[in-house]
Amino acid sequence: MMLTLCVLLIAIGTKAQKQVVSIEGEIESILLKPQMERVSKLNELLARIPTQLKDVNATTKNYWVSYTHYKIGLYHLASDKEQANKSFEKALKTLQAIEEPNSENLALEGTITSTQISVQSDKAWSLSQKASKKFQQSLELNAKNPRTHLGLGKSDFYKPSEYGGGEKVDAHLKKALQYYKEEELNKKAPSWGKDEVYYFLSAFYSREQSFRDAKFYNSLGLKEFPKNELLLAQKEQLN
Amino acid sequence: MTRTLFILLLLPTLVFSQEILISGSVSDGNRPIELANIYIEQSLEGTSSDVDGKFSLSTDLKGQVTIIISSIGFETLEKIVNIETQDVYLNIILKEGNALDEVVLSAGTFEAREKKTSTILRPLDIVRNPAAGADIFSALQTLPGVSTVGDQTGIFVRGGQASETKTFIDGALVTNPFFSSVPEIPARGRFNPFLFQGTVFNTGGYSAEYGQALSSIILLDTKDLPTNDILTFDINIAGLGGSITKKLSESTSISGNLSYTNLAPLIEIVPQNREWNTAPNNIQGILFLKHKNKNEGIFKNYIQYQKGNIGLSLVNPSNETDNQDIDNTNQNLFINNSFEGYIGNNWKTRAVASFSYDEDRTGLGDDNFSSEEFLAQTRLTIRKRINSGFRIKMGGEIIASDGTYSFNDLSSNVQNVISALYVESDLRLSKTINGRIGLRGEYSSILDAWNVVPRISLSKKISKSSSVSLAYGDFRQVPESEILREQAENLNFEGSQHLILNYQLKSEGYTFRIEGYLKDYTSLIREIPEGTFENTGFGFARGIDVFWKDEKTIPNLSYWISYSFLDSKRLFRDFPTEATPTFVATHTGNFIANYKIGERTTLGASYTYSSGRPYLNPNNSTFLGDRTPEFHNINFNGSLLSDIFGDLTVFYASLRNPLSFQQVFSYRYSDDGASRIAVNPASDWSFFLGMVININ
Repeated sequence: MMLTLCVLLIAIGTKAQKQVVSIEGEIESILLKPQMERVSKLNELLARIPTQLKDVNATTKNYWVSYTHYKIGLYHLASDKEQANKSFEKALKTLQAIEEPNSENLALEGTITSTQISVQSDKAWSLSQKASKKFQQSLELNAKNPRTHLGLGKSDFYKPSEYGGGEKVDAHLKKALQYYKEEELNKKAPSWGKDEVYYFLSAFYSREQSFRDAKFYNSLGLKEFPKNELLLAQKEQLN
Repeated sequence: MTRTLFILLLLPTLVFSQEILISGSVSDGNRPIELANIYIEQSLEGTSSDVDGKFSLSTDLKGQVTIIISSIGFETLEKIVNIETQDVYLNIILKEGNALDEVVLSAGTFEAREKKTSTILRPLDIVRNPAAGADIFSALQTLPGVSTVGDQTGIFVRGGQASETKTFIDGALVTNPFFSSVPEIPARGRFNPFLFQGTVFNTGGYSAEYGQALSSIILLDTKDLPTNDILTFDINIAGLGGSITKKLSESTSISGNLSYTNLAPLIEIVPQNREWNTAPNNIQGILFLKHKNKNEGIFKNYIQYQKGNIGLSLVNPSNETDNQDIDNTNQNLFINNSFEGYIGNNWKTRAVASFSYDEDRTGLGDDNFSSEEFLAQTRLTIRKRINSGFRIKMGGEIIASDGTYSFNDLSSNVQNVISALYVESDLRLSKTINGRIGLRGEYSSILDAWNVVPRISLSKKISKSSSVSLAYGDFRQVPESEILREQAENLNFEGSQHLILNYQLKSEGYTFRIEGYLKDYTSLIREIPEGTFENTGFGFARGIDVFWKDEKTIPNLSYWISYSFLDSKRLFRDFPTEATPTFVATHTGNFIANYKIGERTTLGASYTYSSGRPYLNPNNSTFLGDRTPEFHNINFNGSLLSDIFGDLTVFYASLRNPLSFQQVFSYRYSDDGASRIAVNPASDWSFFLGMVININ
């Protein structure tokens, strides 16, 4: 009886994980589509998530709904900051509905909060503090969460040097890279963010005028993500 | 059979694609370096080191590859590795880098060095400066803070006289970095600018490592090992020379240089304001040995000898038909042995042992003056980067000098030993604030006096490209030998205190710098009526230096503008009252431009302006109350790279003051003050032509 129950639980867990992996894969493939199609496809996905993740618990569902809102917000960021902020707010509201957030939920909340600085620059200091708190909470739950280290690295990258920014960028990003590699051994979702690690490492070294190092990380990134638009644009700049 | 064939077909592929593991560790010699980047330059395959400094990466490249190892705060290392069939293990030690230098302590400092982004000038800026004629010191005179004093030898910085500026080569004090000359004819520097890879010109507030300079120091660092053998011939309108550089091995090189200069042909062509008895001439030889040890430490042994003559007829303002002949013969020997590298527990060390001999024999009419000066110096400086925010430097030096000064049958001797100890810390107070605090203690045997003085500087980065620096320092100097040979008793060190505030903006292609300073002179030597000397003199200098350099606005054009405002007075030596000395100009400005045409041609132009300087008019009751006319000068130069002799040949030419601006540096009065003679340059205009052939 116990054995049957265990097998059943494992089967359900495996099925749920497969559903999550497929959602993340779908988001990645949407982001490779022409820019015009991306928002509509992401909105379509948003509508499908509750049914597509039918075997998944509410926390995980909320995480992916929030992540999709975040990606929609990022798309709007360049053209419509108000719309972008609305998406970020939706993403945060969905995450904040989670009663017992795990390390991933907190990492995503920190990431979205720090991205909000781009649309609410007047609140930069408080948003940065809020994001930092979320990242710290995330690390307390999982010190090896690569997305938390990515978020911390990005925050430090954007923090003005007058306020001590830029000192821990490479430490966080390289740790993130190491944990991404460990994570790849068991293909679980979420797995997003590794391309950004390469991008920000390259940008950091470029800013420090270590151009050879910048090219190295850009090249590593493009080996893994040959179609990544940010890395391709960065390559152009470095050349 | 089929199976064997399959294995045979597969074998080359297996061998060819066999991956080689490159692993190792990265440390600073003591502690592992985490997060260092390690990658192969050719393939950009790479990784970063873990918390123990360990790394590993695989590659299927074969043959010689370059592995780059870098980490913020350390110097990037390139290691050439031959990859064949076996795995490679690398034990990498990175040298401390420039983390502390990210916020540059720029107050009072101009630096020319390759491969250092913080520097304002490049060595080429000095070599091709149209106002300099390939003379380091003339080039430095175009920087802010230096007065244009055309009738005296030396660098006059911020109200200081020439003896207040000291020159060091690879850490060794050079007693006389100029050729000898006669009154009213300024001499050029006797060191070839091509010898040096780095120049630091400190116009004030300098490090505790150096002393015995009330105003300024000039630090010249010779080049390291050459990359290949070079044979050079230099032929110009005033001389010829040749040099040979030979690499004896990958770690050892020897260079020799011999040159002869004689301005006689030039004097024949260009109308002169002087009546020359002996055209300035000299012969000079250099021997330079360099050796790099296995820890990348470098030993340098430099020997330079020169012998020269100069003679002219000085017009007597009291009787223009009664000229006085003045002739000078001189010789200088400078030997420096230096070592710079890491020893023991990752301490960076610079050890110096130098010797110099300077002899001048001057005849003025029936009188003979001579001086013979020996100087031996030893200096040891060690420094260590304790961590990315703290670096310590300490050391000591002993300078022993022995000078004999004669006037006809009378002679006097001055012997002195200066011993000094110094300690200095560089502190990274935050990501944007660096500080330096130092202390220097000195003892002089001839004065039987000692002093301990502080040096402090702070720099704050206020944006990505700008910073503000503040420096304070107390500087002491033993009075000049001209005074000590008269009297050594009851004298003490002369002193000056500098307070400097600097703002610097350096973005890609542009540099702007403004610096204000206050300089107080204390305990200056004053000659009191009874013919004795005492340390009761004083003075001040205050001013603003501005520097603007633009290498971007117009393609291929690089130019800079410098401006100095100086207000200075002092009561010293035989001054009857406090007055502005003759070497002070209130306003000095320079414009220096270089334009590159293609890869082979460079043209340069410069303009110098200086407001009038004080001169002594015996008819004016106000001491030093008169001013010379304003000074204007224009120079042009050009160089052309060619290969007409099959090797790189550089043709160069320069033209000084082609518009023949009347330049008056001072006036000499007759004994009764009734008539005077203007002291002007040796010629109103001049030119220079030459070529250098480099045979690799």
